[in-house]
Amino acid sequence: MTDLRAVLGRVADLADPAHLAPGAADADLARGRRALRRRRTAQGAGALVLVTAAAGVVRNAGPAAEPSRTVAPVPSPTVAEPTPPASTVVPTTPAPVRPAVRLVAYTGRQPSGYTVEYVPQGWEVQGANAFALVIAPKGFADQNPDSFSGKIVVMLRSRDDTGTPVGTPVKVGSGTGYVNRNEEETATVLTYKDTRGNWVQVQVPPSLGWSDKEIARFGEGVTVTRHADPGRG
Amino acid sequence: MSRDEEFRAYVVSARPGLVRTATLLAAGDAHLAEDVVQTSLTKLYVAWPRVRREGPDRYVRRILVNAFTDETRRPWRRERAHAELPDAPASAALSVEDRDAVRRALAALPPRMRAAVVLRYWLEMDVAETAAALGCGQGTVKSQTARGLDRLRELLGPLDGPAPTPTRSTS
Repeated sequence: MTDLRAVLGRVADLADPAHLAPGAADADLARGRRALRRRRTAQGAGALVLVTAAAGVVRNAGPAAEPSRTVAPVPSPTVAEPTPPASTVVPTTPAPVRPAVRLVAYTGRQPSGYTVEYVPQGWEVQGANAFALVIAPKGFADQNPDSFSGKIVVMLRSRDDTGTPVGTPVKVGSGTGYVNRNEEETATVLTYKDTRGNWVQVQVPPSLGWSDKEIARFGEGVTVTRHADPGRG
Repeated sequence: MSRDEEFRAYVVSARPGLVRTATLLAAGDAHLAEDVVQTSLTKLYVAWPRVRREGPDRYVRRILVNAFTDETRRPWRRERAHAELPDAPASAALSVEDRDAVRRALAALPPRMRAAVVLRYWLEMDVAETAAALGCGQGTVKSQTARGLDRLRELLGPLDGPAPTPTRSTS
């Protein structure tokens, strides 16, 4: 009787000795640094992480297609499920990490580019256009819908971002999404492909206290409509 | 220790094992194995601040399997799978015929079945860990592993492992 592990070892021994040498690690480090630089460049050019303004510039599809910057706040949603009294503390700055904020059914008027089934309890749709849906705590001090810090933002991945998403895999519906946290741990981004083939990105702040699965649960309730636009940059 | 220093130290210690595992996943194709390892370590570096807290081994194994299955889906890889495999380096201890027979037997397994066998019997991961790495259920791991072993036994003769599964007709 032949030992299976020994049998497998015969093929493992086919490894190229050059690939086992310590010098290969330097090349791995160089590749990793280049990949990180590319990702930071792509993010800095107009993806989600903590973009505070000028979203229209990076998401403008061209000179003839200046998007409307007038974003009408959607009326506060009616919470469908019975819930305990909302907190009376109105956050004025992004809150520190705390236990996960519960998802509740969203019954307010749906925006045109993206619709949602759920919102965090005590949060509202602050603004929406073809490029982004912004959800923030009710009464949030920052009422600028082009400012994303401390808020949930839903967008399509930029047309210029064609690389394979990196991150921790998480199940989103019947597919797989990828969760990434920025180095400063100030935002988490879930990237996934929806049932219509759109690459969707959901950015959430740490104040929600959500796990990857909870972010995915929120993402499962997002629907990208034909009015959505991925923009460039 | 900086990110770069930590990452490099990890790679120096872990790379030989990753290359050997990838070589098994690739059924002896050293070029494919190296591509898979490079892809995996690049992703590991980008994710390092988060992964280093969880422990990089589990993460890199999952990424390794995903990188391998992604590579096998590329058109030029599918063509290459039907072509002759690269020549194996000589080994004084083992006959070339033995090694080629094992390599062909592994190559005869579909990629994910091969991955299940390698994770369970080379890395000696348990069923739950293997399921997490493959992104499938534990029942799938068990059935894929059992079928993989059955197939290897058909091709290589008796192997010291779990008892073969009853023969089932397949359509």
